[in-house]
Amino acid sequence: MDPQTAITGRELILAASAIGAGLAMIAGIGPGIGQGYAAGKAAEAVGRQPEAQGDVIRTMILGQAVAETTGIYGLVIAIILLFVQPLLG
Amino acid sequence: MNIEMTLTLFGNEIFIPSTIINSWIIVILLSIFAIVVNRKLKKVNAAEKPSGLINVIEMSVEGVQSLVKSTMGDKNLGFVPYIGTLAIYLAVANLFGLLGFKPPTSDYNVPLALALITFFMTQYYGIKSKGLGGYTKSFFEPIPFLAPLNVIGELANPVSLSFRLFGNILSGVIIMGLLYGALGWIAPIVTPALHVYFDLFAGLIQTFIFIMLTMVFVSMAME
Amino acid sequence: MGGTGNFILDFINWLLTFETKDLILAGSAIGIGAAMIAGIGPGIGQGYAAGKAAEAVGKTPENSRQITFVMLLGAAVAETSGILALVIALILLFSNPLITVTGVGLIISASAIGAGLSMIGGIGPAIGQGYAAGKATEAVGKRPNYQSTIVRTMILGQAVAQTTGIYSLIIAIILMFANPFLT
Repeated sequence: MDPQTAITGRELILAASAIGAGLAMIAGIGPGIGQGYAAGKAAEAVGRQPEAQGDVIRTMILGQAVAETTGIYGLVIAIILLFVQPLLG
Repeated sequence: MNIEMTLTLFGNEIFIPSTIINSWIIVILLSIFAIVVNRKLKKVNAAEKPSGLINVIEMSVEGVQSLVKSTMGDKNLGFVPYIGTLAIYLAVANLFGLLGFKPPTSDYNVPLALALITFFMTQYYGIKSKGLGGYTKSFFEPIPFLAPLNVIGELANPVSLSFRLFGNILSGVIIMGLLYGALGWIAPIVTPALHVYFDLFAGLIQTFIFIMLTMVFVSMAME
Repeated sequence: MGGTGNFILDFINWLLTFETKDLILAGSAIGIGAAMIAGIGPGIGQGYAAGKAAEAVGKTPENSRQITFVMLLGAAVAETSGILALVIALILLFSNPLITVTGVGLIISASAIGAGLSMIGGIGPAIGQGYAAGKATEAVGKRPNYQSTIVRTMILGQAVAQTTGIYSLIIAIILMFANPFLT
């Protein structure tokens, strides 16, 4: 079948995978907001007690790394959809 | 102007992209710089006030020392040489785009390699300071149920470290390349400001982020 | 199931009656529009920072220069997601890399849409970075002599918050410049 005039299931799946990969990255909204909130509170805490900045920064980074996880999930799914293409069966 | 080479070793062709060549150039330049500074240091009288280059070098070393001390604690000053080296290499590599070369960090292999060094450092010092038993136990805190999440979180660190550095530098390279291509002769009017933002600002901040996160990950593993 | 299936098939067959290049450009247009939705984020974040700056200047007008500096610095960082989305949109608009590749038109078109959708993720980092900028501005207003420490913490936190925006950018770049679906 000439793909320019008729479509097989394979092409449809790949096209949908492209859109799905884009949709998966919308998950990045969450960690962005959350990590920014952590950064703001850390800046506030450091302003209140600059001697504690080492501990404050470590706690902030730790919390931000945990918040990162769902963003990574989204990235991994997008990369799987693009490169592993498991839905082609 | 970017050089790339194809070597033939033992009958196999090895393609070396321009980013790796640029990385070698940086290593050679930094080594020459280090040798020159070393020679100057040997002739310095420790009692006098430092001047010129030696002054800058001393301030930089003291800066790195205070950064490592405030992030990792007084006992971990042994990390200063590695953190300093990483900082210098990353700063020069990221800023290489200003000279018209392709920065080495815009090739995913370079940030990946550096992030993997951090990852292995974290695991090694974690095991060394807590013992193998204590180290594996730390994945089961605070609730044993969360162990898989902790492992994924640990694996996410090199991924996010490498992608953050790679993405920031590569986006700068792409944007500047497109601008030069699209604007043609009027490019030099607009691009300096953007160069400052993308190459200078982003490059230095990404260097700072990378070394801060390296220090934080290693020091948290040793707690 | 019969009715819905026919509608989708009819739509796709109708799409395939067009030239490949037109299909790709149409998908790019949707992607361009989708990418600009990321502008929501910097708007919210920078607005919050501005509000906090105004509040801080109201409390301590003598520190207004430093407060303004920190606000502008934080707001500039919060702008990044908007700029990245704009760049993707401009590339698709004026220097579209997808119209010269060889592949199935429908897939390439969907890649353009996917690239635009991906940049919507930039909303989050911008909101978060704006919040960080606002809090840092507030802290600097209270204790201006600790500005460098506060700004350092803010920049560090903001750069970590940027990460998922960078992930979105990488997926968009892959779909546009290193498309895995080409023949």
